[in-house]
Amino acid sequence: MRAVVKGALLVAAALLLASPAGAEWVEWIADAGLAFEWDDNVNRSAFDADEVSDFRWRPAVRGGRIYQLTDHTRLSFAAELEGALYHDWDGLNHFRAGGTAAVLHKFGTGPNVPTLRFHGTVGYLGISDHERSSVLYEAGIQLSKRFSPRFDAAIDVLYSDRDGRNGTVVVPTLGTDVWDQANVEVGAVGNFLITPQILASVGYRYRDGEFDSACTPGNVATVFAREGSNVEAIAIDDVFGGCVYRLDGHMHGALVNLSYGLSDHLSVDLGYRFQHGKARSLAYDTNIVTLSLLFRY
Amino acid sequence: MKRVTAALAILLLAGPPARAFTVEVKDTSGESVADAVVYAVPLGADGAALREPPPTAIDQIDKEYVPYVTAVRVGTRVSFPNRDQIRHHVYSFSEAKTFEIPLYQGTPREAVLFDAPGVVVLGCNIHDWMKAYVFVTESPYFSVTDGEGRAILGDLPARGYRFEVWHPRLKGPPSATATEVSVGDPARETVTIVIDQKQVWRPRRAPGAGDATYR
Repeated sequence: MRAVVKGALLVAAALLLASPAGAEWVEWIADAGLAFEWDDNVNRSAFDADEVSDFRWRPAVRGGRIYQLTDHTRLSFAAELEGALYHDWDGLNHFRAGGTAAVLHKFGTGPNVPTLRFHGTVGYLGISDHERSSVLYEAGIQLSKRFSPRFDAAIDVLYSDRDGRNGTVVVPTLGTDVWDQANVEVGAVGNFLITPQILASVGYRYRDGEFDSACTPGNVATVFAREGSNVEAIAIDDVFGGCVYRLDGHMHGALVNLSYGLSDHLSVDLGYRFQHGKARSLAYDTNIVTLSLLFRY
Repeated sequence: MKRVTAALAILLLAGPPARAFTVEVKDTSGESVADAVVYAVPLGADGAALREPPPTAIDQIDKEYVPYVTAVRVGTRVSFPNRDQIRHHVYSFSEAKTFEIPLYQGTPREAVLFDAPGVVVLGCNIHDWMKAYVFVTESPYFSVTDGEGRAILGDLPARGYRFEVWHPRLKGPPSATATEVSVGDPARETVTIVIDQKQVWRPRRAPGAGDATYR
């Protein structure tokens, strides 16, 4: 996986160096956002009684440049910095700093011509609870198409790999590398203009791979009874006070978002995401509501 | 005496004096309509000797075409100066004029000749929201309404005309807006034309949490 990301970055650099005459830097990327989010299961517990909810602020900035390789192909480099400040669970406060290289190709001229985008990202996730801090790798491919001025849609495949630290031992026979997680994700989203200012988005995502979940002294026996060897790692959880484990499963996610354009560069968005994760036996449900202000230069 | 005779002769040769005529365009709810093209078709033979139309320009400023609507006479050359510090890719697939100016900065050396009447829709292949219209008319008498919905047609020789209106949101053909007016009557120097409008969509420019990025 990491080789894929590194390969993507190398390809981007090679494209830049081998670009044809006339290719040049053409456009800046300057984005910013501030989101206020409510998450009803920040510890991703499989047990309703143990779920904890919280609010968080999520500021984000992104800057970069676009290099035009040909009339229909562009290469972009962007640096990203995101943060999250939790209202109650400040051990989860974090920042994510990273860089993305992307190649975007439009298959011709016109508004309805499909576009293919590859990207590779490397980032660092720094969390107040240092054991959770990780290096992140991501590579994705997205195919998007506009069907009319009011409607466009995209499908994508995303590979992500999180390389974390080892935690404190709970079960001597199991590893503590709870934060080493790899996932493959596929998704589809459709965007529909309700009015010239209001954009409605509806999406679905399916993820297959590893995720973490909090456990307590009261439910950890149930976790092992129902998941058995699917619990791949377990460690002491310094944030929620119990334990945290990694297991393999899949997740279905649905999202809806309403975006109101305040100007050509600014919008206010209200979104809702529902995630239903399923391992061998246990299920993990999360509801997330996001109110955000987005700026794009 | 010779001077007076010469002046009268010039007046007779020149025909009736030209004058400015104002057309107000409103929608069915009484709101003024900006960016409407008003053109006047002389009733009967015109006889006016037409000179080659002057060139004009459509700018690209802050990732938008300026102006949004441009009216030109058949045979006009239009240049597309890019005032942004980024590159744009101008294209049209319209029947009246199909052309493409691949990614460029500054002003292209060759202007585009609009040699057939009709509506030409402009796009930018990088920024899908960028859209503009060129209305190409055979009439030499035309103007585009301002923010108050007023179009002033200057130098209109006194005679009868059929005024028609075109707008990107016009419902139906321009002929449905036809209004016959006799220009030259001092008591009537303004006419109001009401048009029926439909919704015309273009991709939204503002960011959205779910939208696919163009970069």
